[in-house]
Amino acid sequence: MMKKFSQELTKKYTNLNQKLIKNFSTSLVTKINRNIKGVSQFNHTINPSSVSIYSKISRGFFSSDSKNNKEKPEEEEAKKANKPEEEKTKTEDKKKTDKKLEESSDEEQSTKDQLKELKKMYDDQIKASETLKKKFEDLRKAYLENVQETEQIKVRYDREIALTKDYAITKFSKDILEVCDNFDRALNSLNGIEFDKLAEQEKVDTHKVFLEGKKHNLTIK
Amino acid sequence: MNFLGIGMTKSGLMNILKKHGIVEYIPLKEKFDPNKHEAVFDYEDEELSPGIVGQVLQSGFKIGDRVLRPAKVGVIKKK
Repeated sequence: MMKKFSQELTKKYTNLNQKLIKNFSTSLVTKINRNIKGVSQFNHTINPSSVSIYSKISRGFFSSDSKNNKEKPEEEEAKKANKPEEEKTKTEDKKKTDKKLEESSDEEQSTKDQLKELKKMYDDQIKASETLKKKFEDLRKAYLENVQETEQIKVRYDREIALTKDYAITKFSKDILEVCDNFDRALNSLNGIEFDKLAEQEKVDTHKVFLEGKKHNLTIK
Repeated sequence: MNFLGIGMTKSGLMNILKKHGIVEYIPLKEKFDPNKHEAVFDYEDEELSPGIVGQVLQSGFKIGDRVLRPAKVGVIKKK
């Protein structure tokens, strides 16, 4: 009974687990695919612009550097006059890049949130599967213990059956032993008597009786 | 002789008992074991050492490994 029940239980559990894992894995895969697509699109849309930004920044730096290099041999006043202009251009560039970065960061954040949600879901699913695994392990342990117990009980009962077979006649044989004792007593009581002499004595006695009878004209037929 | 028949009957009975796992034992000059022997009396003896069965009044019987009836014995005691 226990065996059947536990087998059914394990089957059901494994089926359920497989279904759960399948559903979960398929949903996860689709989600991840979507996310990957989004990320790639995001990368495609962002990368050129970011490249352009970086190129602009680098150009600005390089241009300023080149200007500085060119101006070095020239007068210092010209330098001073040029510097604020350079700073102005720099700040403009920076503003542009910041705007673009903000846009990109919004997109990134949305994707990050999605990722976080996915991660949460994934963790929850993993936790659920772990709890199920634990339950399954507990059930399996209980089942194995039950099987062991039943086997032990079977062995014990077999042994008891054998013993009862062997010792069933105990009471009866105890009563029979008294008959054995009586036989012993009979043999012991006969041990001291010499039967040969007894027989001879009997013969002599009968002969005497016979002679006495003859005296009185008595005969044995 | 006349009493041979009684002995034969007894041996036949003992054989039947043996067939069913019941064996007689006579623990003469064995060490006294309270599980197997029932000490009826004790006495001093010069030849045998103390704690040994000197006389067997009634033989014991075993069924398998269990004692069916302990043997009634006289045990030798210390001087």
